[in-house]
Amino acid sequence: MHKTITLNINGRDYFVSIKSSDTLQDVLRDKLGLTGTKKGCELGVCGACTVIIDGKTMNSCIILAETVQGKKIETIEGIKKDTDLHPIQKSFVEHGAIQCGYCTPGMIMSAKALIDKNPKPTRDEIKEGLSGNICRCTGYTKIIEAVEDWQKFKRSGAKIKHEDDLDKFQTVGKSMPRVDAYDKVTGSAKYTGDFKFPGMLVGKILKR
Amino acid sequence: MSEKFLRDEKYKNNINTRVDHHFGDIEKGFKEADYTREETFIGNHVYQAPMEPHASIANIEGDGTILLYSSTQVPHYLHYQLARVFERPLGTIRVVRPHVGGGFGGKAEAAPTDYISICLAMKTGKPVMVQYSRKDMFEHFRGRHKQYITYKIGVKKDGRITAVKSTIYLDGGAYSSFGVISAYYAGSMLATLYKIPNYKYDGYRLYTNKPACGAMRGHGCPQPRFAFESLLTMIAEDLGIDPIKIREINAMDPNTRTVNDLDIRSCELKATLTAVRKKSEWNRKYGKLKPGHGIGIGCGGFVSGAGYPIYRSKFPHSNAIIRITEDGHAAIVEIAAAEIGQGSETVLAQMAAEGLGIPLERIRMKSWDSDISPIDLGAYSSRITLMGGNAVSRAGRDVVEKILPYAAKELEISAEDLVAENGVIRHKSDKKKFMAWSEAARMYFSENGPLVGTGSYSPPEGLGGTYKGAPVGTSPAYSFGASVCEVSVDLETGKVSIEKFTDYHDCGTPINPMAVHGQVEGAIVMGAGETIMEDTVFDDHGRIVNPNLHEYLVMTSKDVPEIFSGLVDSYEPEGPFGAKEVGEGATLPVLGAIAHAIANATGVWVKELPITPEKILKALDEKRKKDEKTSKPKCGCD
Repeated sequence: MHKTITLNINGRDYFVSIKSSDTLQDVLRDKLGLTGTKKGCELGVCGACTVIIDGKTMNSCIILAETVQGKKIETIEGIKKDTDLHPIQKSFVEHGAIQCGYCTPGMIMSAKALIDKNPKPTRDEIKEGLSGNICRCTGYTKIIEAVEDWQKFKRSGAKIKHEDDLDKFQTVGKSMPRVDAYDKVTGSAKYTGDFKFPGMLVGKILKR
Repeated sequence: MSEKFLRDEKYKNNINTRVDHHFGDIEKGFKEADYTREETFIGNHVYQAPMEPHASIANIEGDGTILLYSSTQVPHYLHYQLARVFERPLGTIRVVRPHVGGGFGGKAEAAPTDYISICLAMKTGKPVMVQYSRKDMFEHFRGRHKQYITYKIGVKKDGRITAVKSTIYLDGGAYSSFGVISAYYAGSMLATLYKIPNYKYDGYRLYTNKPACGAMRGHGCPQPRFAFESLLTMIAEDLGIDPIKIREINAMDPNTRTVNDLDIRSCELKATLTAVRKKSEWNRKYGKLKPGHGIGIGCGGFVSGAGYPIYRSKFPHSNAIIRITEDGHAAIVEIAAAEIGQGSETVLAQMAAEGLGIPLERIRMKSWDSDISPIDLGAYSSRITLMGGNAVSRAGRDVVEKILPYAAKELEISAEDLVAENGVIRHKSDKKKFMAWSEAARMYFSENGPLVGTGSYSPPEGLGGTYKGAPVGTSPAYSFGASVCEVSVDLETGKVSIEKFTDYHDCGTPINPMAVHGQVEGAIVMGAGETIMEDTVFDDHGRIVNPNLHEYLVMTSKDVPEIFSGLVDSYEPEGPFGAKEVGEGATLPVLGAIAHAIANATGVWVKELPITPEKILKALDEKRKKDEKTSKPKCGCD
């Protein structure tokens, strides 16, 4: 049975036709094309699909869409202003807190929820606040540093000093942010599962 | 073995790969030894668990071309495999690699999602997406082999190694995947770190009723390295030699051919040991910590790109085209090198910029489409920085050579006296004589049409020995590193807290130090999870009991240690600008360092991964019983 609901996402009302069994993740990704919210485990444990609902982080893969009507939903696509990154996004870029980028949107949403409430979190509070988000690449070290240091990036053009950069070359030997960092912190980087071709069918592997 | 358990008549006793390597003279080596010790270690089935599930989208285009989007770390091998399976020319298939959410070896071969999506697209005439669930990923596996490892090491009184005997059984699952190579790597890479004059390796890869095991970060080597490092430390402690000292005594030298014919060029292992000793304050801590607190050392290193491709071919391993936009401003760098999170796209852009002499922001990378970019063999064996880097920097220099004559004419200076850097072409010594880089490029275009440079890289010819399996482990260069780990262990519960890691790595010239440290930190945390918590558990029928991220434990932000990552001065002549790998090599010291730190904290060695609280408590209990037995009065007079 399809029904139409209203969801307030990133300050805008969306009218969507859903099935009762649709999760918020299904609606965000498949109906609204907001694929910055990633799909990692479908079990509510990896945090790749983290969104903020009325100020609290939630795993959108285990929330039914119809239960969040009337609530304020924030996704990774909504946190930069026009072309200006949010300071936490800038901090992730400059600190090198991104590698494959798949956990990044969820990680940034958890970090944002934390600093919205507690602008100067301690290292332990940061570790606690991010503990629901699994990252397999970075070893969390630079992510924790990026959250610790986020206020610095309220200033435009803020940079970090890299002690072991080399002077020998022009570009080589310098700690430059990733070339794909902007796409990865804004949720616009597309992974294979984020593409939708016209008329595309979705196959499922069935076993046993 | 009972007949019904045999997978294939071709493989007696289900042995899918048998390696029988003997270098030097093992008997003579052990005869020369003043002390020998032999121990057996057991590894674990670790799964890569990249955050992005494997996915593929296929479409049959109007002209019949197969278009495949795939989450892959080896677009070319996938492309080649599709051509073979669908029996059509490579040129009728187009492979697109979008952003990839991690691989670690788990996406290093064509996956069922690729074939199935193509077959369904052919049947339905529509684009088809097939994506793995998290459970599908675990069942596809290709994670680490579980290895059963016995090492016997012989040393002189001063700690010099005289002989090593290695026997390894690799539990490989039901198919080969990369397993044949894994079995060779488990033996060959042991010889790159320390000078081993006599070495014997017996390897057996076995078919079992589990999903196929394959190549994972450090391919085949982390478990043997864990075992070897543990045993070397045990021997040092038996002989009263400082465990860092025994490594310094045996450390590989630069420009050495190993006992199994691998050519080491740059090597700063000794420098990493010296640096790690100082930075970790080893001398102040080792042997002086309270019970329950421990410090440990481990070393490791890896190939910087496999010396030979996976299938027999003669073409260069990395190929790049740089096309300059007609206004001379931007450089479009085309190389199908798979960015999977490791940062290849960024370091390749930096090296292209350096080769061209223009700033990074004028580089645009095109690496994801086989229709646009020439072949790079892929993101495996830590090869892209060295191989792709050589290709793009050569392509950059090719462009510069084409435009210099135009600048020479304009500036009335001989081309040999000109240099391209920072967007200008100028006199080598007189900085006032210059012109805009883009202007010279525009002049070239006006006269000749498109300004394009090309560059390729092939490893040096004839790498390695001539014996069977000799190509595995060959490489243009090798990385080295040393890690010190500090832990605390609750002696009541066995719970381990990994508190601190101090790591120094020899990656040659770092192209991007921040990216290097990011790789090291990621490697330490992944390696630490592998050492103390990660394990894919199987029931008697070979089914996975924990195929999800809830029960398969990986480290979270709350588990991570404080990490210091440092670099030593090093220059690799075969690498671009002197660079070599970091991504896989940095994983290798981790396991042994943690195992030693735990032993140092508890007084017991746990020789089976993962080192869980249960195993620590069991070992403590056994030690207590043994101590009680030996301390009992012999006369029995009580």
